[in-house]
Amino acid sequence: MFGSIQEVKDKLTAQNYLINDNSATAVYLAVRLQKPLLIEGPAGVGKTELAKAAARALDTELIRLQCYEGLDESKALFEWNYQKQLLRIQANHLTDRTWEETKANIFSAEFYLARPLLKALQAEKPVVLLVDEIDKSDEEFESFLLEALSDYQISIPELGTVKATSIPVVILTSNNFRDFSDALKRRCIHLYIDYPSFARELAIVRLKVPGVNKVLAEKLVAFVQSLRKMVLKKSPSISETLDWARTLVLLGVETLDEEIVMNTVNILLKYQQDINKVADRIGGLLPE
Amino acid sequence: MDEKILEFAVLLRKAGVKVSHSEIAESLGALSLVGLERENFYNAMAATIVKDQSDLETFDKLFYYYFDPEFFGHRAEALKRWPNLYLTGSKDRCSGTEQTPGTGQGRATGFGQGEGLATTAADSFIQVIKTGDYGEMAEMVKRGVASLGQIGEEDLRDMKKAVRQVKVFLEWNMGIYRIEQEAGVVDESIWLTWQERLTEMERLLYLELEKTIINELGSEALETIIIRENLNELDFYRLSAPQVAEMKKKISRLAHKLATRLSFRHKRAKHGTIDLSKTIRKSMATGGIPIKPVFHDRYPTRPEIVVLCDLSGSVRMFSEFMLQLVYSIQNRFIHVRSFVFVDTPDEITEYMHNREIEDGIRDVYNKARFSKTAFSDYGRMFIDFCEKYLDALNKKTTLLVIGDARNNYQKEHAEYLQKMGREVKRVIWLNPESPDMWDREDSIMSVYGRFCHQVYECRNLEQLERAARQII
Ligand SMILES: Nc1ncnc2c1ncn2[C@@H]1O[C@H](COP(=O)(O)OP(=O)(O)OP(=O)(O)O)[C@@H](O)[C@H]1O
Ligand SMILES: [Mg+2]
Repeated sequence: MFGSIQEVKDKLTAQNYLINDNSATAVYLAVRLQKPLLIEGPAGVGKTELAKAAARALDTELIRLQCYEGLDESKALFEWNYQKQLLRIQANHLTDRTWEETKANIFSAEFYLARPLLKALQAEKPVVLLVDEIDKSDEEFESFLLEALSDYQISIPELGTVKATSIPVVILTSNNFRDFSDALKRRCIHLYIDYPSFARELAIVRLKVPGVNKVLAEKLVAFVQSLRKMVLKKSPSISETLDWARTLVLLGVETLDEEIVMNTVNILLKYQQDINKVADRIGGLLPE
Repeated sequence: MDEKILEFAVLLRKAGVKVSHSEIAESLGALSLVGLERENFYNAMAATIVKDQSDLETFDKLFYYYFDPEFFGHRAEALKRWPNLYLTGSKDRCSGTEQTPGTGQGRATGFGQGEGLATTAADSFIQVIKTGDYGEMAEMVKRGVASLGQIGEEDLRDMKKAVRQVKVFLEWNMGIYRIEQEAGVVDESIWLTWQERLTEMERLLYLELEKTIINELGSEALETIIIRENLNELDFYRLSAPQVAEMKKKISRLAHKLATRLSFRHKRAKHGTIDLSKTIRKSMATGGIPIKPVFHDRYPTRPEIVVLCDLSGSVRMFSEFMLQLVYSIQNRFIHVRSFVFVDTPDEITEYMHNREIEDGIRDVYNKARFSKTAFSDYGRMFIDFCEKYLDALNKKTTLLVIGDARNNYQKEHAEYLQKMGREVKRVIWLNPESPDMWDREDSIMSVYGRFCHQVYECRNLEQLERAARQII
């Protein structure tokens, strides 16, 4: 449990996650008010990482539900283990058990697989449930999830109502691939993570890529920050900055010049269109 | 305290931000956890109330105006209730200022600020943009707004005019002009920073002006100003410069929404024809017994679309928004062809195709030939279209005409629109004027409307969204 906003900051920093006041407040509120935290923002700004770091900081398990198109309740919640059930039916066949007995037998706890959501609700102590990229799931799943998160209990016909043993810290992430229903948004504490400030990004680079010298780190972060001011199809994110920094270290680069940037800029920019746009301006974009 | 938050929420709603009761309750719970220190207070309110990133700007603005010491100066009891709010924070965007607006009489006419002979106002402006000191930027807009002297109802009614006056006083446009001269010479990174500051200056100017007006005229002014924030319902032609930028973001979100909604709706079919091979494959898990049939997905048939945009006068802004929308979702259509006109059509498909919208539109103005006389002439345009581009139309096409149908008292030639209509599946007309302006003066909407399948009023974002859903 986090006792204050400052404690959120300190504990996450101890887990190598550098957070600003705005985000720390949202995390603090979500945990204390027991509300799901909906994190939105561009790709690679540390949404998923925040959930992971929070789990470590709270010294608890992280249960991850990765969303994708077509994800349904059975994959998220609970599923009968058909194979195992079939085997048991066949085995029982050879004995003189009645069908009634077999049926009672195969629909028992032994034969289901708890999926992330059920696991999180049944956990002994509060876990962090990360519902990653919820924007990739479809709307039906969203409303199912909403129901489950409203009072932290779900009714499953075969098992009855399952009430949470402990209320998990729920973190939902989204890349804005689609909009959510108002009902879901109303239910959540909202956090938008934007690209980091120069100072924070510099700190992240120095923390995560210890091999990079101070001057190089400053220059490369300044360069990335300038790129983000341009209109690009896709701006580089923290993950790209880190990849770039690591590459430069591997290449033994001491300081940035046009040629090195030109040769490695494809790590930062994923679209040829963007690369072309930046290519003839590299000189001007490099810090002094 | 609860009362203040409630009133704040009411204003937010008026500004077009959705706020529910449960969210208000949540925000109160949050405040009791984090306390009233200004930054915590702001962060907690934002986290519990703003669920849509595009609403944050509006929220910030209202927060800044509403929880402002001066504003509350008119409300002594409020001051007592929120003692700590005004004590902390000074440099962040949501902090208050102490100075009271200028009390001078009469308006400056805008010949510099008399700061001595050597430095003109434009010099100071450039200086501030180059150094980017936040305090100095704020100080400068404050001086500019103070130059207006006594603030009156007029400034609230016509804020654009007040903004122009301040800009004249600060020699703002001269400053921008000179800075742009340097664009080619300085490094790209510096230029990008300057641009960012110019945008920020503009934002600060509006903040300062609006805040001054509110402090002067009281809570009704706040309400008027905040209602103008509601971009969903604000007329396109009323948008200020920062709002145009905001609107572009909103439109790209709308485009995104339209695009994803559609693809989701047509994904996994729940009934229809059975996909046998997939069904059998799936049945392996259940020992060969097909418990759940799998269906063939249905794919929507995509329409072809031809857009015909009026680029004259006040319609121009709306046409640009529409082009942005259409091209952001162009993969929703089999084919998009676009034309612009004032009195004659020219095709712009090439400029827009697979380009950034801004670049495309710039090319349209530089290269396209859509105006012979500079006066709107729909009749002439339809004739020319039939002559040059009739083969762009076919039975699968939706023809989208965007314009106010103000024909400048020229010949109607509606029969040519009729002729075009016969070639296509349907003709849809979007008019950015309110229907009570139609058929007044030189508007001949109903003359052309007879040959359209639908005519929509499309003055604001909300109506645009509705029309867009119809079209797709
Ligand atoms: N505040 C931070 N402190 C330390 N590392 C960070 C921080 N933010 C991001 N990172 C690093 O950036 C990388 C990208 O983060 P992450 O994968 O969490 O991004 P994401 O927002 O979930 O992206 P996506 O939307 O693509 O899933 C990770 O390697 C993470 O360690
Ligand atoms: Mg992620």
